[in-house]
Amino acid sequence: MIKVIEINNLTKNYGKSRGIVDVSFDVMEGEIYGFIGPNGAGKSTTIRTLLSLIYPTSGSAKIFGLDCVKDAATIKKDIGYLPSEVFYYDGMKVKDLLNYSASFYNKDCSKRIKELTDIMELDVNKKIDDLSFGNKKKVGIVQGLLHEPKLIILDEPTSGLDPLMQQKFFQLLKEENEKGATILFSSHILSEVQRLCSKLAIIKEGKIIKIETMSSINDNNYKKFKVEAADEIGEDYFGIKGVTDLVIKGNEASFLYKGDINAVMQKVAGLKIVNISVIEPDLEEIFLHYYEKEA
Amino acid sequence: MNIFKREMRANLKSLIVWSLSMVMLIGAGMGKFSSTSGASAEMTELISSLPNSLKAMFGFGNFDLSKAIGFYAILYLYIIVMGAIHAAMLGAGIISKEERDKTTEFLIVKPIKRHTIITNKMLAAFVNVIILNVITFSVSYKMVSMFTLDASLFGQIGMMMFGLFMIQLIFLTIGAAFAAINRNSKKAPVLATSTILIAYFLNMAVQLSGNLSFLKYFTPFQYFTADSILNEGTISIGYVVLSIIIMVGMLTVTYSRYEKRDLMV
Amino acid sequence: MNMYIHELKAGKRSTIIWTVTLLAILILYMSFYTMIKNDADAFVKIMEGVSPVIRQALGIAINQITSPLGYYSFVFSFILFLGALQGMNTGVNIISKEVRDKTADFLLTKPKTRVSIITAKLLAGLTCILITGVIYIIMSAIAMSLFTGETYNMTALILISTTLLITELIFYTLGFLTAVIFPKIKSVISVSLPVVFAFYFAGLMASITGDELYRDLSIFKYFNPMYIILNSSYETKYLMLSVAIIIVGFALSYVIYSKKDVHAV
Repeated sequence: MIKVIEINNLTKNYGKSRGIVDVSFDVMEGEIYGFIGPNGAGKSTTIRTLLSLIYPTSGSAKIFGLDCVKDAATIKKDIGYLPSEVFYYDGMKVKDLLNYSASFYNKDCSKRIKELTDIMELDVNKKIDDLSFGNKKKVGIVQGLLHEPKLIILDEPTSGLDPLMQQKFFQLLKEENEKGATILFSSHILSEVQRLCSKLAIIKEGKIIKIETMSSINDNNYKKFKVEAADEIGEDYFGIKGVTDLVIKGNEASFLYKGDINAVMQKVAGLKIVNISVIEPDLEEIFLHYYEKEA
Repeated sequence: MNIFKREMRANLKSLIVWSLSMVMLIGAGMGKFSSTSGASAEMTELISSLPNSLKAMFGFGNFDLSKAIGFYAILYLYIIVMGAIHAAMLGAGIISKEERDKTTEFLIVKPIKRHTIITNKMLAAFVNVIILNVITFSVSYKMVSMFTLDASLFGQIGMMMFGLFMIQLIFLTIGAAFAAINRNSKKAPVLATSTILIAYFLNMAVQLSGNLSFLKYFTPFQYFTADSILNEGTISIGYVVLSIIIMVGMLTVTYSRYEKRDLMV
Repeated sequence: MNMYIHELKAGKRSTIIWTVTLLAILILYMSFYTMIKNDADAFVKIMEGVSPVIRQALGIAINQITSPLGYYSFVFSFILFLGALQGMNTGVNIISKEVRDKTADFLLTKPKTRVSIITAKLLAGLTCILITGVIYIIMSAIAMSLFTGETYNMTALILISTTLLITELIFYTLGFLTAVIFPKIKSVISVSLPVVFAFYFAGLMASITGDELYRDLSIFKYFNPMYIILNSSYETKYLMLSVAIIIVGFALSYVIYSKKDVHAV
């Protein structure tokens, strides 16, 4: 597989205050890569370094195999970027801004602009100054995707979008991904990363503390079982390896399980089940788990 | 009161910079004065009989450059122009900055009336102006009295400083009014400074041409001139009244427009 | 090219306003010429009674300042102030607006090198100033014939008027560099007006005292109209100094702009 983003020991100091320390991770072609951490952890610093808005103190980063600082302009031909706070030029109409944006790429983007503005339900004849925050956000989205970039970098992109629009936006990202685009998605909202991403890096206080595939995160973690049986469940019926936090109240049992799923299912099958739920723990819990461990 | 304090603190740095600039302007100017540089008495007398337009062009107007106060009088125009710039930007900035810095929402949801906000801000601006005036007064008096000390000096400089004070208040309220009227927070400082430039160029036009003298009411720089203070020894009450009318008018506009208009967030 | 055109469009309105303002001041002040000339002639006649030495000295001064080019030079000093302000404003604005309007992220994530971005901006601002400068030079010649009706040295006039362009370029460079060094400028005019005013004041000090240091500091006095009228050329030292400031200013801007971090706002 081809490495689209390759970050090696990237460090950025802002004087004495926060920055990033020794950040390394790779994003492979075709991945939707989650980049997650609380506010001020260094997500934006990393992304702004990738885009050469700021320059690294030490270490390096490559995109499409080219150096982020030296080949910045070449790299950006194939990058679409959507920052958390959108920008607008004074007195410009939506279409003026989009055309201006398109004029930086040596290709005809008019068809794609039309498609995207339709999907996002954006009125291109309005002045950007007059748009609501959410609508400005949409301009940002269209602006970032109109040149069909190979790499899409998103810095906390969903704030200000209503759930319906967010749905459309995610759909759009998935389509782009299916067409071959690689996506780096930074967020502090775990559920959206969980919905979208296949791999993720967790950053805290400027350091990467965990890199995992989404499936291994899910696999390696506890599942929550809730079982309701027709008859009373014996105190040590679920006393097998991998079960923790067991609570039994008459006909009901709840516990966390980690291990071979067949083993626990056999035990479950031995009961006359009235109701059962198996819940994947959400990223929130995993996240807290990692954070507590590192703290 | 908390808004007042906040504004005082927010403007402290700029007040220090402006005060230092004022001290430097007066210091650099008066530092170059030497009593020998003046023209002969006959020349001075002849110059004072020049037509006004020519006096304006020679730049030394009606002043006796062999005296420190005459030399200071030339600086006076620059002092009031600088005072006007300070006041206009202060007035425009103090009202419009909430919208510029997107802090309007923060302030406006607090349990206070809009006119309380204006009162606090204008009060803070007023105190800033007073401080700058006190500093200018002290430095001016100190510098001029270093060369000559006579009884009339305090009164002469005092009157000029009163003129500076009036001009600052006029442009302070003009700046505030522009900020209160304009929804676009970027426009207020531009409009306020444009007013100063127009007033300045009008001032020169009035001096150059005899038949445009009716325009002098439109430029505050004509209200309190060093020429009238030093040579006539008085300040015209009419201009003081006119100044106060302008200030009250501008304040009324500021309060009523800020009260009523939509604030940009 | 797209950035250049975008910047030109953005600068169109202000270039028109500045050009019109400069021409308005030129025409207004030049229209006083005949009247001032008459004032002066009348005054020279009534000077009969005074001692010949003084009469001669003042007479020469009056003749000099009321000759067509002499009067134009006087008017030009005001034009120069406004021009400097335009230059400084243009330079500060073209760089600082990206940060103020939060468009820096937009521009800097496009596939362009920083050098090509700053070059497009530099050239666009340069074009605006060049347009103002060239229109002004042509209009100054027309205004001269229109309002003075006397013969004058055309070469000297063109040379004097061209110093507007040179001065604008120097201040444009300074504004450009200032904005590159201090990216978070909230209000353009509140930076440019005090700076231009400070240089203007240094110019006043230079002409009052004849101090060489003040002249080197005050960009406004690099080109002395009286020298140009007499020699039909510029003083080499100050022409070189101007070119040096412009080159060094832009070189520094390029280096700093290419290396600086652009932070989220």
